[in-house]
Amino acid sequence: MRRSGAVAEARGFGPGDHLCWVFDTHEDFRVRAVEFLAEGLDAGERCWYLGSSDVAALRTDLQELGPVDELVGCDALRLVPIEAGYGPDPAQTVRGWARAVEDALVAGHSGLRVVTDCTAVARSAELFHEFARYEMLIDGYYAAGAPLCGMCGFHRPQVGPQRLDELCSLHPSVNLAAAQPFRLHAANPDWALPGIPPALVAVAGEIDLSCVEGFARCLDRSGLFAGGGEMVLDAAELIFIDHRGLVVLDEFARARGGTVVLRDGPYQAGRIVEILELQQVQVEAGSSR
Amino acid sequence: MVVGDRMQHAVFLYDDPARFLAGVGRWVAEGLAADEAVVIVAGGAAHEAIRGSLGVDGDAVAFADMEVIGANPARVIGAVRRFVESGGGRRVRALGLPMWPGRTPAQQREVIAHEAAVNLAFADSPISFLCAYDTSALPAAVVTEARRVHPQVWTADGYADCPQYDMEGLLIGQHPPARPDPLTEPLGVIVDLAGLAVLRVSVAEIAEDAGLSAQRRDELVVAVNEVATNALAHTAHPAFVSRGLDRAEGSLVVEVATHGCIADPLVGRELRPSALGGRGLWIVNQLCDLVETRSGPWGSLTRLHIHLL
Repeated sequence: MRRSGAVAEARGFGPGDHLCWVFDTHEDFRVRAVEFLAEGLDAGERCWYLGSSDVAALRTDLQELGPVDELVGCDALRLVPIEAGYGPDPAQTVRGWARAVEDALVAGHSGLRVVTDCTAVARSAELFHEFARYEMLIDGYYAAGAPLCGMCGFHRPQVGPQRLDELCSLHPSVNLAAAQPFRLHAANPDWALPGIPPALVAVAGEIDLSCVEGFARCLDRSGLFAGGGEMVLDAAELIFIDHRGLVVLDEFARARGGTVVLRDGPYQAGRIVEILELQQVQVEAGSSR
Repeated sequence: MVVGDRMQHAVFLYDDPARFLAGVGRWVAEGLAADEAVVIVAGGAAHEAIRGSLGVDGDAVAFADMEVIGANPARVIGAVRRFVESGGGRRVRALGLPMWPGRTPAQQREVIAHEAAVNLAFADSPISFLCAYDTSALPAAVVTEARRVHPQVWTADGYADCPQYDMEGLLIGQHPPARPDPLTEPLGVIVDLAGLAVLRVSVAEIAEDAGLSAQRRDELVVAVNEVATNALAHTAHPAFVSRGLDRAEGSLVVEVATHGCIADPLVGRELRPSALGGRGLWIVNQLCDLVETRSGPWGSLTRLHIHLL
């Protein structure tokens, strides 16, 4: 079972987990990167560390991890400039990671573990939209049970609050200091093809006026349900959604000619849908939380 | 009397069941003869008596249960609007018995507020309301109030202007000059939207403490969340939330007060997504057993009642 929710440290993550870590100082990120990668090395995973285009700086960051040169020498650890890990096409980038996972398995590793300082990509006005879409695509690959474990770092002062909120909401796990009211991430254990949107997405947490605009932006950026039809959202971890959030879903579905189904959604959501007679949203198997 | 497309809103004061049924029979027959869409909104016993006395005319009349749609009187206008819209453009004739002897004091006040709001909601609608009040069973003060909110009276002689009708003073009960005494137990002050999640947890706790079912608890949480959200979003003032038990009403009450004001007397009585806070207060009225809204120079407050069974 992959982890979902807010966390205090970057420990205890395994295959399928996808952590967002928002940091104020590079030192905070570096410490978390070391603790995250150390558990990967212990588990026999191949580790990649992506960030600065200055590979010497990447090497310095990981001194506490052990004999870095030795690890790099036997290809248990790779230090990769960010430009080499992310291309302009999200689907192609996801397929690239799928190949890297395969390579790690072929080389005898138990999987691949990646820490990336994504700040340079996330702060770019041109790249941001595609990057947010990429996060949803790659999360589908994680959720499908790929032996991949990742941590995405974002430097708060450079990325800016609105984008940060969206990026945090698009990860199943996020550090406490940046936790968002809601999360929208992949939830499909059966899906396997890297590079296409996940067929099942989970919406978790709480949606009210404090975050409903971000919710609408995340839905739009997710690239989900472009084909219309019935769009199932796993809402088992959805604690609360007010009428504004449900109206956003209704309009999202209508614009795509489909219907949104909140599977295992809360009882109160069903009541609001009934009262407002929202035509494009259904709440299935509602329960009280 | 030629009414054209104008609204009629008449009070029918009666003190004898036989005269009541005879009057209703005549009023319904007039409507059917004029090819009007007739609906009767009455609670259990009255419904049975009326249905029995109408004979074949009863087959051409729609019935709705006032104790269901009008338990919270703020739901009635929306229900009537729906009937009007389904009527295919015919003039509508609606008989209502909104006030019965078992109505609690707060319900009585809200019935009168509802009657006043009818005058605004349907001012330009082709509809005739007849609101029947039993003067032998209702307190004299309630009958006096009923006269003030109806522009017409209806008797065996037909319609006449109601001399006590008081358009200026209609909503005075909704606008007390001073803030009503707050409920005794403060629950929290919400200063920004991040406080809503905390408020929802507090409301769920008091609902559970009061013994509400999980579903009623969740409905109260939705209602309080909507009112507090409106207060924060539309007034830019903090929302002061308190709670209490209203023994006369048999209900758990959550009050949301703010220094801002609520200007629209119809908000929440009809589903108008375009109105400021319109969807939210509509939901609140469908979920709560009674909603009291008051405003004045001191600000405004909304009291949400959920019955304790």
